[in-house]
Amino acid sequence: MVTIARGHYQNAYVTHDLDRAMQRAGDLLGIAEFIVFEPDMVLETPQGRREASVRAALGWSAGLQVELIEPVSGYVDHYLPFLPPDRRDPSPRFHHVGVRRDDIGAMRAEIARTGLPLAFEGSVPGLTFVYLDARETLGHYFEYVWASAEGWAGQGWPPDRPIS
Amino acid sequence: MFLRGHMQNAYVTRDLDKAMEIVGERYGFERFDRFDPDMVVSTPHGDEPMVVRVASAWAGGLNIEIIEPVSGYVDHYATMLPADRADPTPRFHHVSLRRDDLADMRAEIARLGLPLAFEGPVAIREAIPSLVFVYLDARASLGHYVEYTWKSPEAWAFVGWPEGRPVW
Repeated sequence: MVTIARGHYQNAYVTHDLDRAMQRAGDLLGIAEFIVFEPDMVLETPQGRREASVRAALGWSAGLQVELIEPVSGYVDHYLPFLPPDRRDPSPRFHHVGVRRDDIGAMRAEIARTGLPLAFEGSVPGLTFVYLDARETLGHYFEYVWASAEGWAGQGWPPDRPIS
Repeated sequence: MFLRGHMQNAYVTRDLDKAMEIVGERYGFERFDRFDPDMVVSTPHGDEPMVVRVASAWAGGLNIEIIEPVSGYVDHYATMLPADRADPTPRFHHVSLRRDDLADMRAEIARLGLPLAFEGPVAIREAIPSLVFVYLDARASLGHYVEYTWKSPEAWAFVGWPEGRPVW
């Protein structure tokens, strides 16, 4: 992690109810506005391509980005075990950390060196994300994110926030 | 509460030695700073003893802390441990926020209205620089605890704050 936690910028959570989670976390963390998106994705997984739909929200609380994810359908098995047993409970539950990378080739080489199992990966124009399964070592998942400069700006990267 | 000053993700484990081995091997930590505080903390039920074993290390601008609850007032740690007592895997427990003005920190905590888990140290056996930590129970809104910490400059140096690392 000395290497791979470099660029840590995000703590991410799963929830049964994105709207109520945004309310609770937003009120506490002073996040007045989340970027909400509801992607229908095709993911690369160890079992081949799989479709997945989630509802997600991104918000910045000072220099830390908070992501909230509500799994909806498809290949969402990696999210489900972290949810509260009570389906009426909207409280977010910690799911993964996200680290920023700006060189996608170097990111892929680094991922290969970690030896962590791939959970899934996906991309949209200007952004690629790779989820690794770090449950046996950290108890949660680990996400690498490469994005173009426009991709980082599009998710509200604070201009004065250094890449650690 | 803003996450300004976020500087640490912290985990609990049932076996600190195995957890350090697991995390160290996989993520390349050559060494952890080790500390076994034997202290008294202030709780909603009065002062209580607490003994924990702690390891921490810096990964870039992020501090990783692993805590093994040992004895005393450790229920707030124990509640996040794996059900299997033989499982040493770290489990996420809290984020920690740096504050540099103690009075401002206490005013901010009061405004939040989050339940106090505990704070300290009221007393500690080891000689350490001046510091204050306050654990708040944010499980209802974030699913985990939040730690506010004020430290003297000597205490920030004591915990290895990376030179030049700004507070963001």
